[in-house]
Amino acid sequence: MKRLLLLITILLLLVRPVNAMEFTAPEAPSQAQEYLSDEPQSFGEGLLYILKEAISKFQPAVTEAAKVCASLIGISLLLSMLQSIPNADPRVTSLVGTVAVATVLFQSANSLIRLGSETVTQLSEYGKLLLPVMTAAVAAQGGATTSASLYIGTAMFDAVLCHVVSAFIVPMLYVYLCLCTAGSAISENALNKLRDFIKWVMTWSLKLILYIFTGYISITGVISGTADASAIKAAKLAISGAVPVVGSILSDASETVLVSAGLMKNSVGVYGLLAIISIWIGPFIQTGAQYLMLKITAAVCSVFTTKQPTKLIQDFSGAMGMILAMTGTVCLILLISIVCFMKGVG
Amino acid sequence: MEALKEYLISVIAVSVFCAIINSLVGKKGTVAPLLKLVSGIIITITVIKPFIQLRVNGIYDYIESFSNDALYYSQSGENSSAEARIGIIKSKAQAYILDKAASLDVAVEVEVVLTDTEPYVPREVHLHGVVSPYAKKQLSDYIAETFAIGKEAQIWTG
Repeated sequence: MKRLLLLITILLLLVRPVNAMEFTAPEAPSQAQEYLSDEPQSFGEGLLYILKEAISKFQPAVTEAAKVCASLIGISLLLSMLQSIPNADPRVTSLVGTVAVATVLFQSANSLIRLGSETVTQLSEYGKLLLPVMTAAVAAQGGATTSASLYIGTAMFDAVLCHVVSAFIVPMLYVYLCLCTAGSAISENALNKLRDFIKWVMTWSLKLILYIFTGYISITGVISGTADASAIKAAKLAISGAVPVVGSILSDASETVLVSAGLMKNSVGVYGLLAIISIWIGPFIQTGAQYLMLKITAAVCSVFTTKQPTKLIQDFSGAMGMILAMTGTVCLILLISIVCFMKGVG
Repeated sequence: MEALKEYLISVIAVSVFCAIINSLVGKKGTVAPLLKLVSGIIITITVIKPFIQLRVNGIYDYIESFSNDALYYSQSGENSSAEARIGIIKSKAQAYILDKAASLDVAVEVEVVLTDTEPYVPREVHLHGVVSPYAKKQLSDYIAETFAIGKEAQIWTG
Protein backbone atom coordinates (compact mmCIF):
# COMPACT_ATOMS: atom_id res chain seq x y z
CA MET A 1 0.00 0.00 0.00
CA LYS A 2 2.83 2.30 1.00
CA ARG A 3 4.62 1.57 -2.29
CA LEU A 4 1.42 2.13 -4.24
CA LEU A 5 0.96 5.55 -2.63
CA LEU A 6 4.58 6.34 -3.39
CA LEU A 7 4.08 5.31 -7.02
CA ILE A 8 0.97 7.51 -7.33
CA THR A 9 2.89 10.45 -5.83
CA ILE A 10 5.73 9.92 -8.32
CA LEU A 11 3.30 9.68 -11.24
CA LEU A 12 1.55 12.86 -10.14
CA LEU A 13 4.89 14.62 -9.92
CA LEU A 14 5.72 13.42 -13.42
CA VAL A 15 2.39 14.51 -14.88
CA ARG A 16 2.30 18.07 -13.50
CA PRO A 17 5.19 19.73 -15.37
CA VAL A 18 4.14 18.62 -18.86
CA ASN A 19 0.82 20.42 -18.39
CA ALA A 20 2.75 23.64 -17.71
CA MET A 21 3.55 23.94 -21.45
CA GLU A 22 0.35 24.31 -23.41
CA PHE A 23 -0.19 25.82 -26.83
CA THR A 24 -3.76 26.09 -28.00
CA ALA A 25 -4.98 27.49 -31.30
CA PRO A 26 -7.26 30.52 -31.11
CA GLU A 27 -10.87 29.75 -31.95
CA ALA A 28 -11.96 30.47 -35.52
CA PRO A 29 -14.48 33.33 -36.00
CA SER A 30 -18.19 32.41 -35.83
CA GLN A 31 -18.72 32.68 -39.63
CA ALA A 32 -15.92 30.18 -40.21
CA GLN A 33 -17.21 27.73 -37.58
CA GLU A 34 -19.85 26.32 -39.94
CA TYR A 35 -17.08 25.00 -42.20
CA LEU A 36 -15.18 23.34 -39.35
CA SER A 37 -16.02 19.89 -38.08
CA ASP A 38 -16.77 19.64 -34.32
CA GLU A 39 -14.79 16.42 -33.94
CA PRO A 40 -10.99 16.36 -33.80
CA GLN A 41 -9.63 15.50 -37.22
CA SER A 42 -6.59 15.23 -39.45
CA PHE A 43 -5.81 17.93 -41.99
CA GLY A 44 -7.12 15.83 -44.89
CA GLU A 45 -10.43 15.06 -43.15
CA GLY A 46 -10.82 18.68 -42.09
CA LEU A 47 -10.15 19.92 -45.62
CA LEU A 48 -12.63 17.43 -47.04
CA TYR A 49 -15.28 18.61 -44.58
CA ILE A 50 -14.64 22.25 -45.54
CA LEU A 51 -14.90 21.38 -49.26
CA LYS A 52 -18.16 19.48 -48.69
CA GLU A 53 -19.65 22.45 -46.82
CA ALA A 54 -18.36 24.85 -49.48
CA ILE A 55 -19.86 22.81 -52.33
CA SER A 56 -23.22 22.78 -50.54
CA LYS A 57 -23.08 26.59 -50.40
CA PHE A 58 -21.97 26.99 -54.03
CA GLN A 59 -25.44 26.35 -55.46
CA PRO A 60 -27.18 29.21 -53.54
CA ALA A 61 -24.29 31.55 -54.42
CA VAL A 62 -24.63 30.70 -58.13
CA THR A 63 -28.41 31.19 -57.93
CA GLU A 64 -27.88 34.62 -56.36
CA ALA A 65 -25.34 35.58 -59.03
CA ALA A 66 -27.61 34.19 -61.76
CA LYS A 67 -30.36 36.64 -60.77
CA VAL A 68 -28.00 39.56 -61.46
CA CYS A 69 -26.87 37.95 -64.72
CA ALA A 70 -30.48 37.38 -65.83
CA SER A 71 -31.08 41.14 -65.37
CA LEU A 72 -27.97 41.88 -67.45
CA ILE A 73 -29.08 39.54 -70.24
CA GLY A 74 -32.50 41.21 -70.13
CA ILE A 75 -30.87 44.64 -70.49
CA SER A 76 -28.76 43.37 -73.39
CA LEU A 77 -31.87 42.06 -75.16
CA LEU A 78 -33.59 45.43 -74.72
CA LEU A 79 -30.50 47.21 -76.03
CA SER A 80 -30.40 44.88 -78.99
CA MET A 81 -34.02 45.77 -79.73
CA LEU A 82 -33.23 49.47 -79.32
CA GLN A 83 -30.37 49.14 -81.81
CA SER A 84 -32.65 47.60 -84.39
CA ILE A 85 -34.85 50.75 -84.44
CA PRO A 86 -34.09 52.66 -87.64
CA ASN A 87 -32.14 55.94 -87.19
CA ALA A 88 -31.32 55.08 -83.54
CA ASP A 89 -28.16 56.88 -82.40
CA PRO A 90 -25.60 54.18 -81.38
CA ARG A 91 -24.04 56.59 -78.84
CA VAL A 92 -27.36 56.93 -77.03
CA THR A 93 -27.84 53.15 -77.04
CA SER A 94 -24.36 52.69 -75.67
CA LEU A 95 -24.89 55.33 -72.95
CA VAL A 96 -28.25 53.90 -71.91
CA GLY A 97 -26.78 50.39 -71.89
CA THR A 98 -23.83 51.45 -69.77
CA VAL A 99 -26.03 53.23 -67.22
CA ALA A 100 -28.39 50.23 -66.98
CA VAL A 101 -25.56 47.69 -66.62
CA ALA A 102 -23.72 49.84 -64.06
CA THR A 103 -26.91 50.31 -62.01
CA VAL A 104 -27.45 46.55 -61.80
CA LEU A 105 -23.81 45.67 -61.11
CA PHE A 106 -22.77 48.42 -58.67
CA GLN A 107 -24.94 47.09 -55.83
CA SER A 108 -23.61 43.54 -55.95
CA ALA A 109 -20.05 44.77 -56.58
CA ASN A 110 -20.27 47.05 -53.55
CA SER A 111 -21.42 44.25 -51.24
CA LEU A 112 -18.72 41.89 -52.56
CA ILE A 113 -15.98 44.51 -52.17
CA ARG A 114 -17.08 44.99 -48.55
CA LEU A 115 -17.17 41.23 -48.04
CA GLY A 116 -13.65 40.94 -49.46
CA SER A 117 -12.39 43.74 -47.24
CA GLU A 118 -13.98 42.15 -44.15
CA THR A 119 -12.47 38.78 -45.05
CA VAL A 120 -9.01 40.31 -45.31
CA THR A 121 -9.48 41.94 -41.89
CA GLN A 122 -10.74 38.66 -40.38
CA LEU A 123 -7.84 36.70 -41.82
CA SER A 124 -5.37 39.26 -40.57
CA GLU A 125 -6.94 39.37 -37.09
CA TYR A 126 -6.91 35.58 -36.86
CA GLY A 127 -3.29 35.58 -38.01
CA LYS A 128 -2.44 38.04 -35.23
CA LEU A 129 -3.81 35.54 -32.69
CA LEU A 130 -2.36 32.40 -34.27
CA LEU A 131 1.16 33.60 -35.08
CA PRO A 132 2.28 34.24 -31.45
CA VAL A 133 1.12 30.71 -30.48
CA MET A 134 3.01 29.16 -33.39
CA THR A 135 6.09 31.30 -32.62
CA ALA A 136 6.11 30.18 -28.99
CA ALA A 137 5.55 26.52 -29.97
CA VAL A 138 8.44 26.53 -32.47
CA ALA A 139 10.68 28.31 -29.94
CA ALA A 140 9.76 25.67 -27.34
CA GLN A 141 10.86 23.04 -29.83
CA GLY A 142 14.27 24.66 -30.06
CA GLY A 143 13.65 26.86 -33.08
CA ALA A 144 14.00 30.28 -31.45
CA THR A 145 15.75 31.91 -34.44
CA THR A 146 13.42 30.32 -37.00
CA SER A 147 10.28 31.26 -35.09
CA ALA A 148 11.39 34.87 -34.55
CA SER A 149 12.31 35.42 -38.19
CA LEU A 150 9.13 33.72 -39.42
CA TYR A 151 7.04 35.84 -37.06
CA ILE A 152 8.70 39.08 -38.14
CA GLY A 153 8.20 38.28 -41.83
CA THR A 154 4.64 37.05 -41.60
CA ALA A 155 3.37 39.67 -39.15
CA MET A 156 4.99 42.49 -41.11
CA PHE A 157 3.81 41.36 -44.55
CA ASP A 158 0.36 40.56 -43.18
CA ALA A 159 0.06 44.02 -41.61
CA VAL A 160 1.36 45.72 -44.75
CA LEU A 161 -0.97 43.71 -46.98
CA CYS A 162 -3.99 44.35 -44.75
CA HIS A 163 -3.16 48.06 -44.79
CA VAL A 164 -2.64 48.05 -48.57
CA VAL A 165 -5.99 46.33 -49.08
CA SER A 166 -8.06 48.50 -46.72
CA ALA A 167 -6.46 51.85 -47.47
CA PHE A 168 -5.49 51.47 -51.11
CA ILE A 169 -6.94 48.54 -53.07
CA VAL A 170 -10.53 48.84 -51.80
CA PRO A 171 -10.83 52.60 -52.54
CA MET A 172 -9.01 52.06 -55.84
CA LEU A 173 -11.49 49.33 -56.78
CA TYR A 174 -14.28 51.90 -56.53
CA VAL A 175 -12.22 54.38 -58.60
CA TYR A 176 -11.57 51.57 -61.11
CA LEU A 177 -15.29 50.75 -61.40
CA CYS A 178 -16.14 54.46 -61.82
CA LEU A 179 -13.51 54.82 -64.55
CA CYS A 180 -14.82 51.66 -66.27
CA THR A 181 -18.34 53.08 -66.25
CA ALA A 182 -17.25 56.55 -67.39
CA GLY A 183 -14.98 55.09 -70.07
CA SER A 184 -17.79 52.86 -71.31
CA ALA A 185 -20.30 55.73 -71.33
CA ILE A 186 -18.26 58.31 -73.25
CA SER A 187 -15.71 55.98 -74.93
CA GLU A 188 -12.83 58.24 -73.84
CA ASN A 189 -9.44 56.66 -74.49
CA ALA A 190 -7.69 58.56 -71.67
CA LEU A 191 -10.12 57.14 -69.11
CA ASN A 192 -9.58 53.62 -70.40
CA LYS A 193 -5.83 54.08 -70.10
CA LEU A 194 -6.23 55.29 -66.52
CA ARG A 195 -8.47 52.30 -65.79
CA ASP A 196 -5.80 49.93 -67.11
CA PHE A 197 -3.14 51.75 -65.12
CA ILE A 198 -5.11 51.40 -61.85
CA LYS A 199 -5.69 47.72 -62.50
CA TRP A 200 -1.98 47.28 -63.19
CA VAL A 201 -1.04 49.08 -59.95
CA MET A 202 -3.47 47.00 -57.87
CA THR A 203 -2.38 43.70 -59.43
CA TRP A 204 1.31 44.48 -59.09
CA SER A 205 1.09 45.71 -55.52
CA LEU A 206 -0.41 42.32 -54.54
CA LYS A 207 2.07 40.38 -56.67
CA LEU A 208 5.03 42.35 -55.35
CA ILE A 209 4.10 41.74 -51.70
CA LEU A 210 3.65 38.02 -52.39
CA TYR A 211 6.96 37.76 -54.28
CA ILE A 212 8.93 39.56 -51.57
CA PHE A 213 7.26 37.50 -48.84
CA THR A 214 8.01 34.21 -50.62
CA GLY A 215 11.62 35.27 -51.14
CA TYR A 216 11.98 36.30 -47.49
CA ILE A 217 10.48 33.03 -46.22
CA SER A 218 12.71 30.94 -48.50
CA ILE A 219 15.91 32.69 -47.43
CA THR A 220 15.21 32.92 -43.68
CA GLY A 221 13.92 29.33 -43.65
CA VAL A 222 17.30 28.05 -44.80
CA ILE A 223 19.51 30.35 -42.71
CA SER A 224 17.69 30.32 -39.37
CA GLY A 225 16.79 26.61 -39.68
CA THR A 226 20.48 25.72 -39.94
CA ALA A 227 21.34 27.96 -36.96
CA ASP A 228 18.68 26.32 -34.78
CA ALA A 229 19.68 22.79 -35.83
CA SER A 230 23.30 23.57 -34.84
CA ALA A 231 22.16 24.99 -31.48
CA ILE A 232 20.14 21.84 -30.73
CA LYS A 233 23.10 19.64 -31.67
CA ALA A 234 25.38 21.66 -29.36
CA ALA A 235 22.86 21.34 -26.50
CA LYS A 236 22.69 17.55 -27.01
CA LEU A 237 26.49 17.34 -26.89
CA ALA A 238 26.53 19.33 -23.64
CA ILE A 239 23.95 16.97 -22.10
CA SER A 240 25.84 13.86 -23.16
CA GLY A 241 28.89 15.17 -21.26
CA ALA A 242 27.00 15.26 -17.91
CA VAL A 243 27.01 12.62 -15.12
CA PRO A 244 25.35 9.38 -16.53
CA VAL A 245 22.08 9.42 -14.54
CA VAL A 246 21.77 13.22 -14.67
CA GLY A 247 22.60 13.11 -18.38
CA SER A 248 19.86 10.58 -19.04
CA ILE A 249 17.36 12.63 -17.00
CA LEU A 250 18.28 15.79 -18.95
CA SER A 251 18.11 13.95 -22.24
CA ASP A 252 14.70 12.43 -21.39
CA ALA A 253 13.37 15.80 -20.27
CA SER A 254 14.57 17.48 -23.48
CA GLU A 255 13.12 14.72 -25.65
CA THR A 256 9.78 14.80 -23.80
CA VAL A 257 9.53 18.57 -24.15
CA LEU A 258 10.59 18.53 -27.81
CA VAL A 259 8.12 15.79 -28.69
CA SER A 260 5.21 17.34 -26.76
CA ALA A 261 5.99 20.82 -28.17
CA GLY A 262 6.11 19.29 -31.66
CA LEU A 263 2.77 17.55 -31.18
CA MET A 264 1.12 20.70 -29.84
CA LYS A 265 2.66 22.80 -32.61
CA ASN A 266 1.33 20.43 -35.26
CA SER A 267 -2.17 20.27 -33.80
CA VAL A 268 -2.27 24.09 -33.46
CA GLY A 269 -0.92 24.38 -37.01
CA VAL A 270 -3.47 21.98 -38.50
CA TYR A 271 -6.35 23.73 -36.74
CA GLY A 272 -4.91 27.10 -37.80
CA LEU A 273 -4.66 26.01 -41.44
CA LEU A 274 -8.24 24.74 -41.42
CA ALA A 275 -9.48 27.87 -39.65
CA ILE A 276 -7.75 30.13 -42.20
CA ILE A 277 -9.19 28.15 -45.11
CA SER A 278 -12.66 28.19 -43.54
CA ILE A 279 -12.52 31.99 -43.07
CA TRP A 280 -11.53 32.42 -46.72
CA ILE A 281 -13.72 29.80 -48.43
CA GLY A 282 -17.16 31.38 -47.81
CA PRO A 283 -16.36 34.75 -49.41
CA PHE A 284 -14.37 32.92 -52.12
CA ILE A 285 -17.47 30.89 -53.06
CA GLN A 286 -19.67 34.01 -53.19
CA THR A 287 -17.22 36.15 -55.15
CA GLY A 288 -16.12 33.24 -57.33
CA ALA A 289 -19.71 32.46 -58.31
CA GLN A 290 -20.28 36.10 -59.23
CA TYR A 291 -16.98 36.19 -61.17
CA LEU A 292 -17.84 33.03 -63.09
CA MET A 293 -21.39 34.12 -63.88
CA LEU A 294 -20.26 37.57 -65.06
CA LYS A 295 -17.70 35.95 -67.39
CA ILE A 296 -20.43 33.73 -68.86
CA THR A 297 -22.85 36.68 -69.11
CA ALA A 298 -20.25 38.81 -70.90
CA ALA A 299 -19.73 36.00 -73.41
CA VAL A 300 -23.48 35.58 -73.94
CA CYS A 301 -24.15 39.34 -74.19
CA SER A 302 -21.35 39.85 -76.72
CA VAL A 303 -23.44 37.85 -79.20
CA PHE A 304 -26.34 40.30 -79.39
CA THR A 305 -25.45 43.67 -77.88
CA THR A 306 -23.10 46.63 -78.41
CA LYS A 307 -19.46 46.55 -77.45
CA GLN A 308 -19.48 48.99 -74.49
CA PRO A 309 -21.97 47.27 -72.13
CA THR A 310 -20.26 43.92 -72.75
CA LYS A 311 -16.89 45.46 -71.98
CA LEU A 312 -18.34 46.95 -68.80
CA ILE A 313 -19.56 43.52 -67.66
CA GLN A 314 -16.06 42.17 -68.32
CA ASP A 315 -14.56 45.03 -66.31
CA PHE A 316 -16.86 44.26 -63.38
CA SER A 317 -15.83 40.61 -63.57
CA GLY A 318 -12.23 41.90 -63.51
CA ALA A 319 -13.05 43.72 -60.26
CA MET A 320 -14.43 40.46 -58.84
CA GLY A 321 -11.17 38.82 -59.87
CA MET A 322 -9.30 41.54 -57.99
CA ILE A 323 -11.35 40.80 -54.83
CA LEU A 324 -10.50 37.10 -55.22
CA ALA A 325 -6.84 38.02 -55.65
CA MET A 326 -6.66 40.22 -52.54
CA THR A 327 -8.38 37.70 -50.24
CA GLY A 328 -6.38 34.88 -51.84
CA THR A 329 -3.07 36.69 -51.29
CA VAL A 330 -3.70 37.27 -47.57
CA CYS A 331 -4.85 33.66 -47.19
CA LEU A 332 -1.82 32.34 -49.08
CA ILE A 333 0.64 34.38 -47.00
CA LEU A 334 -0.83 32.96 -43.79
CA LEU A 335 -0.96 29.40 -45.15
CA ILE A 336 2.67 29.50 -46.36
CA SER A 337 3.74 30.93 -43.04
CA ILE A 338 1.88 28.33 -40.94
CA VAL A 339 3.32 25.51 -43.07
CA CYS A 340 6.82 26.96 -42.51
CA PHE A 341 6.14 27.17 -38.76
CA MET A 342 4.96 23.53 -38.82
CA LYS A 343 8.10 22.48 -40.67
CA GLY A 344 9.93 24.11 -37.77
CA VAL A 345 13.61 23.53 -37.21
CA GLY A 346 15.34 22.49 -40.42
CA MET B 1 -1.21 54.30 -47.42
CA GLU B 2 -3.57 57.23 -47.18
CA ALA B 3 -0.89 59.28 -48.90
CA LEU B 4 -0.63 56.74 -51.74
CA LYS B 5 -4.37 56.83 -52.25
CA GLU B 6 -4.34 60.64 -52.32
CA TYR B 7 -1.41 60.54 -54.71
CA LEU B 8 -3.16 58.26 -57.21
CA ILE B 9 -6.39 60.23 -56.98
CA SER B 10 -4.49 63.49 -57.58
CA VAL B 11 -2.72 61.95 -60.62
CA ILE B 12 -6.07 60.74 -61.99
CA ALA B 13 -7.77 64.10 -61.30
CA VAL B 14 -4.99 66.08 -62.99
CA SER B 15 -4.96 63.68 -65.97
CA VAL B 16 -8.73 63.88 -66.41
CA PHE B 17 -8.65 67.69 -66.09
CA CYS B 18 -5.85 68.00 -68.70
CA ALA B 19 -7.62 65.56 -71.04
CA ILE B 20 -10.85 67.60 -70.85
CA ILE B 21 -9.03 70.94 -71.44
CA ASN B 22 -7.07 69.45 -74.38
CA SER B 23 -10.18 67.96 -75.96
CA LEU B 24 -12.04 71.30 -75.54
CA VAL B 25 -9.25 73.29 -77.23
CA GLY B 26 -8.84 70.69 -79.97
CA LYS B 27 -5.79 69.56 -81.90
CA LYS B 28 -5.46 72.54 -84.22
CA GLY B 29 -4.47 76.17 -83.58
CA THR B 30 -1.49 77.86 -81.93
CA VAL B 31 -2.69 77.33 -78.35
CA ALA B 32 -3.08 73.54 -78.67
CA PRO B 33 0.64 72.54 -78.66
CA LEU B 34 1.36 75.02 -75.86
CA LEU B 35 -1.51 73.64 -73.80
CA LYS B 36 -0.27 70.09 -74.41
CA LEU B 37 3.18 71.12 -73.15
CA VAL B 38 1.74 72.80 -70.04
CA SER B 39 -0.48 69.73 -69.38
CA GLY B 40 2.56 67.47 -69.71
CA ILE B 41 4.55 69.58 -67.23
CA ILE B 42 1.67 69.64 -64.72
CA ILE B 43 1.19 65.85 -64.94
CA THR B 44 4.96 65.23 -64.60
CA ILE B 45 5.14 67.45 -61.49
CA THR B 46 2.14 65.67 -59.96
CA VAL B 47 3.67 62.25 -60.68
CA ILE B 48 7.18 62.96 -59.30
CA LYS B 49 6.25 65.26 -56.37
CA PRO B 50 5.81 62.49 -53.71
CA PHE B 51 9.13 60.87 -54.66
CA ILE B 52 10.94 64.16 -53.94
CA GLN B 53 9.16 64.55 -50.57
CA LEU B 54 9.59 60.88 -49.57
CA ARG B 55 10.75 60.35 -45.96
CA VAL B 56 11.37 56.88 -44.50
CA ASN B 57 12.00 57.65 -40.82
CA GLY B 58 8.93 55.84 -39.48
CA ILE B 59 9.69 52.56 -41.21
CA TYR B 60 12.51 51.65 -38.79
CA ASP B 61 10.21 51.93 -35.76
CA TYR B 62 7.58 49.93 -37.63
CA ILE B 63 9.96 47.02 -38.33
CA GLU B 64 11.44 47.30 -34.81
CA SER B 65 8.00 46.77 -33.26
CA PHE B 66 7.60 43.44 -35.11
CA SER B 67 11.10 42.43 -34.10
CA ASN B 68 10.35 43.16 -30.43
CA ASP B 69 7.10 41.20 -30.58
CA ALA B 70 8.90 38.27 -32.24
CA LEU B 71 11.55 38.22 -29.50
CA TYR B 72 8.87 38.39 -26.80
CA TYR B 73 6.83 35.47 -28.21
CA SER B 74 9.92 33.41 -28.98
CA GLN B 75 11.23 34.05 -25.46
CA SER B 76 7.90 33.05 -23.91
CA GLY B 77 8.04 29.76 -25.86
CA GLU B 78 11.59 29.11 -24.68
CA ASN B 79 10.58 29.94 -21.11
CA SER B 80 7.64 27.55 -21.12
CA SER B 81 9.88 24.85 -22.61
CA ALA B 82 12.48 25.51 -19.90
CA GLU B 83 9.78 25.43 -17.21
CA ALA B 84 8.54 22.08 -18.50
CA ARG B 85 12.07 20.68 -18.61
CA ILE B 86 12.82 21.96 -15.10
CA GLY B 87 9.64 20.28 -13.85
CA ILE B 88 10.51 16.97 -15.48
CA ILE B 89 14.15 17.01 -14.33
CA LYS B 90 13.12 17.89 -10.76
CA SER B 91 10.44 15.23 -10.57
CA LYS B 92 12.64 12.56 -12.14
CA ALA B 93 15.55 13.34 -9.81
CA GLN B 94 13.16 13.29 -6.84
CA ALA B 95 11.71 10.00 -8.06
CA TYR B 96 15.19 8.43 -8.17
CA ILE B 97 15.88 9.57 -4.60
CA LEU B 98 12.45 8.47 -3.34
CA ASP B 99 12.94 5.10 -5.02
CA LYS B 100 16.26 4.65 -3.27
CA ALA B 101 14.71 5.77 0.03
CA ALA B 102 11.90 3.26 -0.43
CA SER B 103 14.43 0.48 -1.04
CA LEU B 104 16.04 1.46 2.30
CA ASP B 105 12.55 1.41 3.90
CA VAL B 106 12.74 5.10 4.68
CA ALA B 107 9.96 7.67 4.30
CA VAL B 108 11.31 11.09 3.38
CA GLU B 109 10.13 14.19 1.56
CA VAL B 110 12.53 15.31 -1.12
CA GLU B 111 12.93 18.58 -2.92
CA VAL B 112 15.62 18.98 -5.56
CA VAL B 113 16.91 22.43 -6.44
CA LEU B 114 18.34 22.90 -9.93
CA THR B 115 20.91 25.32 -11.29
CA ASP B 116 19.48 28.63 -12.51
CA THR B 117 20.90 28.31 -16.01
CA GLU B 118 20.97 25.69 -18.77
CA PRO B 119 21.29 22.69 -18.67
CA TYR B 120 19.44 22.79 -15.29
CA VAL B 121 21.30 20.11 -13.34
CA PRO B 122 20.51 19.31 -9.68
CA ARG B 123 22.71 21.43 -7.36
CA GLU B 124 21.02 21.08 -3.98
CA VAL B 125 18.63 18.66 -2.28
CA HIS B 126 16.34 19.22 0.70
CA LEU B 127 15.34 16.06 2.58
CA HIS B 128 12.75 15.96 5.36
CA GLY B 129 11.99 12.93 7.52
CA VAL B 130 13.11 10.82 10.47
CA VAL B 131 15.94 8.60 9.21
CA SER B 132 18.41 6.27 10.91
CA PRO B 133 22.12 7.26 10.65
CA TYR B 134 22.78 4.20 8.48
CA ALA B 135 19.99 4.97 6.01
CA LYS B 136 20.96 8.64 5.99
CA LYS B 137 24.56 7.74 5.04
CA GLN B 138 23.38 5.32 2.35
CA LEU B 139 21.03 7.83 0.85
CA SER B 140 23.55 10.65 1.12
CA ASP B 141 26.21 8.57 -0.67
CA TYR B 142 23.72 7.61 -3.36
CA ILE B 143 22.82 11.28 -3.98
CA ALA B 144 26.47 12.29 -4.08
CA GLU B 145 27.33 9.51 -6.55
CA THR B 146 24.29 9.69 -8.77
CA PHE B 147 23.70 13.43 -8.94
CA ALA B 148 27.12 14.79 -8.03
CA ILE B 149 25.54 16.74 -5.16
CA GLY B 150 28.07 17.09 -2.35
CA LYS B 151 27.10 16.44 1.25
CA GLU B 152 27.29 20.16 2.01
CA ALA B 153 24.47 20.68 -0.55
CA GLN B 154 22.28 18.01 1.04
CA ILE B 155 20.08 19.72 3.58
CA TRP B 156 18.44 17.36 6.07
CA THR B 157 15.58 18.44 8.29
CA GLY B 158 13.18 16.64 10.66
